[in-house]
Amino acid sequence: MIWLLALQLSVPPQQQHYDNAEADLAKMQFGPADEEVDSALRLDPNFIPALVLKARLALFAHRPDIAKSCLIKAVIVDPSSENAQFFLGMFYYLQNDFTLGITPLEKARALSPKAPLPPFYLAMSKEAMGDASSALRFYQEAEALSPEKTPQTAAILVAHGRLLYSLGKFEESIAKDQLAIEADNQSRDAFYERAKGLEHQSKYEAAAADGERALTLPELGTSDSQIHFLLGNIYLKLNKPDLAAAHLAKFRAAPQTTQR
Amino acid sequence: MKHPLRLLAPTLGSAVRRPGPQKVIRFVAILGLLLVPVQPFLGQIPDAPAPAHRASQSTAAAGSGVSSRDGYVGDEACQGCHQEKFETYLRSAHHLASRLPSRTSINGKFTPGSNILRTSNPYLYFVMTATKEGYFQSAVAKFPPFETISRKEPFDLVIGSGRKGQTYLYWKGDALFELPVTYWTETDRWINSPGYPDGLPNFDKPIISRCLECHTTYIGSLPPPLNRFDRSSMVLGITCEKCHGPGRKHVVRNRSKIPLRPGEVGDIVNPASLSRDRQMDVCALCHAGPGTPKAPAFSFVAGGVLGQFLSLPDNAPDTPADVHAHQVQQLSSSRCFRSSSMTCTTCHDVHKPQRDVASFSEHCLTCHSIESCGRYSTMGSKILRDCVNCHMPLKQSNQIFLDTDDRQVKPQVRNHRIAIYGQNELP
Repeated sequence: MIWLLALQLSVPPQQQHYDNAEADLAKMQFGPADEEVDSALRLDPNFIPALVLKARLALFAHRPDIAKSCLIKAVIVDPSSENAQFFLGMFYYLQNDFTLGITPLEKARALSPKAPLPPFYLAMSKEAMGDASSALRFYQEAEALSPEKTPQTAAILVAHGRLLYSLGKFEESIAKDQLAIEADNQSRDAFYERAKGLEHQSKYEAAAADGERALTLPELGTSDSQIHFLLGNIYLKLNKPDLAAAHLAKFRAAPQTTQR
Repeated sequence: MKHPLRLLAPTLGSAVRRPGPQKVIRFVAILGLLLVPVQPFLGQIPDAPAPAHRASQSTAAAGSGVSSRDGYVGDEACQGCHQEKFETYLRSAHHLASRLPSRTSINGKFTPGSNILRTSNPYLYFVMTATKEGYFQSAVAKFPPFETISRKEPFDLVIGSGRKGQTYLYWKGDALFELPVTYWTETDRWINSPGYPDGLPNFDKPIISRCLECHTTYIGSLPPPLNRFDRSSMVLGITCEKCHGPGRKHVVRNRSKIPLRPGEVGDIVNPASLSRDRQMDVCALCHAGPGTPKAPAFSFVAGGVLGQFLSLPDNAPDTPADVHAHQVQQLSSSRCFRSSSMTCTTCHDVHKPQRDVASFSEHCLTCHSIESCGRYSTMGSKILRDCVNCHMPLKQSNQIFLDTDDRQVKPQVRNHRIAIYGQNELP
């Protein structure tokens, strides 16, 4: 008992605040979580886990400026932190600063060669920069490192399939989407992408079924209006003008936004 | 510059954990479809005024000022003798002001695709689910790249008849909170609850007794915090006794068939026989804004002087009152009201649903003739059923708004100041 108490007392206070922040976050108490992170950073301004967590909270709250400064500080304080390097690379990717993201993602990949996310974000960054061959290589690497049937695996497969679709490799693209659905049957993106592929192969009934299924899934990513637009076109080809008109009307009524 | 999450902390779950007056005020200001700011609740609530301090009461039951439920019997006791009124009242918005959750009481859809509220935050959405265990709202937050956290709370109470919308509450022990997603009737879809900024997962808005004073018939309060209640004491909906006072004596006497002796004061409040001011007080409890409490919630009883329980804003006639929950002040500032003996019940029959706006015109025409209307010369008898739309136009509430899709939704509420409005003031 005394030993346990001593162990508890040995937890540094900044770590205690960080643990509290994690606990608050798990309960969706974002404000208190942020306060706890700040308390940890007041005690130790270079505490890497707290800097990374603060950056992630800031990203959620649409404050990329804060996220960026925390992550840059984290990689300066500890360049060997795989987490800090990866999140900085991911941050740049989310901000469309693909070139800036490559270096930290490469460092994260080198620091943790078994992790699938650094090559995944490298693949998406390379794809965005127009380097399809590098992107395909990184997608394959990410896929190989993520054999489990999880939403993460599904996201890697969907992104890979999307690139194959844009390269005109429709069979391979649909195969990736199929694997993605097997990995996560709640993946809205996977059903939407497979619907696109099936439409391209003139398999309109199956494409419509996938599109309708995608509409019922809550996952973020593909927007309702994207799916309505696709379904509108598919139903036109199926000679179902009423259904097509209904979906296209919903597409037109949806708020047009540049934010996904 | 403060961090955004710090700025949002009051709405991110700290309202109860770290209570602050402004947080509670801001929440109450936009809670439901009837409620507005109530800062005074944050201070100590004084005891109910002693009966001796009250103005004369028209009945023995009126204005007892005691929040005990000893004399109350519930709607069922009224049904036997007042069957016709009872049946129509069951469909009224007052009766449906609060209910337990069920397939019929919740108007929002739970079918896949219709059960999702997406937000302006690309990392957050809400899902409404109906399961064998009950009805639930879940907030799902996605942290890039692949971390998901979610929080699920049950629909425990349904607030609102659904005419404009419904807000939902949940219990955490004996503390009551607002759920983050509301149903909005006009668009037939889920929307952020009043007071919740779009794009944030928040389940921690406390519900205080003044909210429930108008959305339920009764619930007993527990020691602070102010959103703690005795769940077992809850009487949902606005029931007969909210306007008629406690009915036990009345029921006992009538079941015993003991007639009132000549000169004996009745043992139940009949609002129609109250003085005009006392009649208006019955409605003003909930239709004149939140006011400043002078006594605990639920201590006012029909027939009493409301001013001894609640201090209400007294809008000058030329002050444009907000149309939400200030109907009594608006009506009181009308020439029709000031030059007649009309009350709310001149037009409203609270014992039944009244949805046909045009039909209210017949009440106007008991005093006015259509020939006296300035529009009669051009429109003729077509204006016969349009009195209300022109002289009591719909107006957007400035106190209730819901954030969604980067804009605010404001309900349209009937302006109760009866007047001649300019063309630019009409919807």
